[in-house]
Amino acid sequence: MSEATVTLISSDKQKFQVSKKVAEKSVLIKNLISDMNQDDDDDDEEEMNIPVPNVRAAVLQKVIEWAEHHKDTNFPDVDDEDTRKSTPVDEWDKKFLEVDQEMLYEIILAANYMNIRPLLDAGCKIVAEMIRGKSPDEIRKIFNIDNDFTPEEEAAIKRENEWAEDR
Amino acid sequence: MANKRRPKKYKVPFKKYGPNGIISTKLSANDFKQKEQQEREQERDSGYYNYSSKNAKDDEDMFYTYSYGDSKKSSEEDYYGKGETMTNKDGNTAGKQQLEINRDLPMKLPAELCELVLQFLSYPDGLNLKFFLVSKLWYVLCLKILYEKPVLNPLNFNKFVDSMTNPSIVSYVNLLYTSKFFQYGDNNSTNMNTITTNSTSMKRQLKYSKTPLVKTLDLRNIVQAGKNSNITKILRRCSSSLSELSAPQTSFGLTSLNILKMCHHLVTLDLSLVSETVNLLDLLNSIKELNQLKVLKFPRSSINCNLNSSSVFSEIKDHEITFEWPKNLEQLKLSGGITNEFLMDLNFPANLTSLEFQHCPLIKDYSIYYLLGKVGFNLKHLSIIYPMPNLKDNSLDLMFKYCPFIESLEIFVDYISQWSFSEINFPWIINSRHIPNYQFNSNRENVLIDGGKRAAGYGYGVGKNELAKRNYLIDAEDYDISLRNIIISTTQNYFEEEDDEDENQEDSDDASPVKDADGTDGNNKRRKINYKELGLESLRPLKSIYLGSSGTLGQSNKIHPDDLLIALAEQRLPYLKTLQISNRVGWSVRDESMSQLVDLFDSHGGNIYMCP
Repeated sequence: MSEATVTLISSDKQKFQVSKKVAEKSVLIKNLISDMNQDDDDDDEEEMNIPVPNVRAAVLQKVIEWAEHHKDTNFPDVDDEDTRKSTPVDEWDKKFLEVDQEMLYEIILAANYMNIRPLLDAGCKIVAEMIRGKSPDEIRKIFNIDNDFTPEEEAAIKRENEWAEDR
Repeated sequence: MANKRRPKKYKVPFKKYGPNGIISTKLSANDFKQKEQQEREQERDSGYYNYSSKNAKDDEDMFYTYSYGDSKKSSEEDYYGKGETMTNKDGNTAGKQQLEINRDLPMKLPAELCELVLQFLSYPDGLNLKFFLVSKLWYVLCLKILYEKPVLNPLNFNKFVDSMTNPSIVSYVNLLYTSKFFQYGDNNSTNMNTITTNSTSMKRQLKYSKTPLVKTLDLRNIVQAGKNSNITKILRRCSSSLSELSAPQTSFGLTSLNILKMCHHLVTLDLSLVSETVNLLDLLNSIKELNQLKVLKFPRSSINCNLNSSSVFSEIKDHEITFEWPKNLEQLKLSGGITNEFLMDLNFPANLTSLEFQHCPLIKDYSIYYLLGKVGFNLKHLSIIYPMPNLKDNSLDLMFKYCPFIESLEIFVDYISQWSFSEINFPWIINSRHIPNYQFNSNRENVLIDGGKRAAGYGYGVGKNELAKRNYLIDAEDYDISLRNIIISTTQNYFEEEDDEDENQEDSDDASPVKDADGTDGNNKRRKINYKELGLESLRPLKSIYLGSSGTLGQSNKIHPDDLLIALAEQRLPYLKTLQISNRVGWSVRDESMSQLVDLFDSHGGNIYMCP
């Protein structure tokens, strides 16, 4: 049996043909495919066009690259929060995600949208490492957030949650 | 002497005080709103791109720009605006230029992704306080993570109590956000005006604003630092959301016990450290309504468990009060002054899958077997941990019969002999469809042959007559638990070969009714069927064994590696992958049979651990 393929269409209408197995790394697409298969019974040969409207071509290409690499990786089902947190980021993933912040951010959003848990986790871990040693000001800059606290509030927050520092 | 531990009262700096108490917090809230507005305007003027400032008019709007739907929208705009491949989408080239200038600045993640990042940041040492100070949204997200599972120790416990019990404007901000964002609390009262004008309602809201966040409360490290009242206070505050509670060693009083009634979401209740005497009746009374409770660990010292003599229990008998276990209890650790009658007379919860014993000075083997006879078939985990002073040196040899389907076992060599791993104590477990020519009773798909009625009677060391009389283990007809496997004991072979004839006679007398009831030919049994030779593998699911030892005199040579080696070689434990052995058991790695055992484990892909 030849490998079934599907065509993913990015937000800017570029087409990517990938094998079904690769595409199914995304839970969103996996569910879509199974839904579509239910509808028309045995038309497996018919080419599937799946639009991925929230992801632009450059990002989709990266995501597909990731999925190709992890085609045969078996990600354990992580229900356990602690193992999920403690698993270090795969070396290849680290290299793969060494992109500018813009791209990293879009990959994370795409992984979130397409429901690719391992990629999402890896991306968020990279972000977490990125800001771990940063000051609040620097973090605000990275995430483009306003400081909406007054100094008084900041003092109150520090005092209220002071207990968390003593350990 | 002044109580230094008393929570200090402090005033929140930006509350305004006047003749009628607090005049306004609203004013100050307005103040910072205005300030924010100004800041935003400044930012806009300075010309760097900010999604949230585009339509943020007041607190609420600002809040909503963080929410998922909008951020998606803005990111969509984003895609069209600045894509590398999409050059000529109509619209703001100016914006695009700006974005390219600030190439690596904007990275506005939606709230749920921020939360994920923060969760990764909280590993392994907890969240750093600085992340609280980034913005209000981050503050709320951090609060959720920090308070979900507070790490408490004697140093910070009192500060924690302060923080939980003294309301402040910050909690109020939190309240405002959480009630909207996480759907906690009362949605109608999030309007600032209604809260500030009605001060009692505000106080109440504030009082409980942080508490719905606490899910896990681990007080095991709080020893002398906690006062009864503090612990009660915290419990009361957290009762609405608490799902896991580990009680401290001291200061867990009667009031705390009563408050447990209100913790409706409690899943795990660990009282195993509590060293103050607890009345079991009170305990069971307060937890019987907790329908979500799955894990319960008894306190080490408890009173009033003797069903016969104690006044409390005669009271029960008089009023016909019955003990009720929480409906969905799955894991139970028994310890303290429970008695044999307690084990034998109570109806234990039907879903029990894990059972532990420790510190039970009164418990004898017959009551354990009686209990196992009732719940043993469901058990997946069994541990019997030293000290259990009333058990003898071979009391637990029969546990593999009583609990054929356990997956993990924790046992001390003090209570088992070398025979516990021998053939006689290992019923062969076979899937029913693997037996050739076996006629099934259609009503009962799963049948049990020769479980252990006789076996229990002839069990090594256990008071023969006592066990035989009780007849509790397996009378196949009594069992209505649906079993997926057939259990066939190899015992009869053993007896026929090794024991004298008159016992043989008894065997056949005993066995035939059971056999007939199952619809099989009684004569079948006389043939020496060796299921191993038939190529049938035992399906005993035991995966891990922990073998401990108290280390007292005379325990060191009770069990030899050979005993396990034989059991493994004869495939009585086909799924055993993990073996943990305490150093005190006295097995040496240099020992030859030990190295054979290691080899055998290696070849199966299993592991042996030596623990201190």
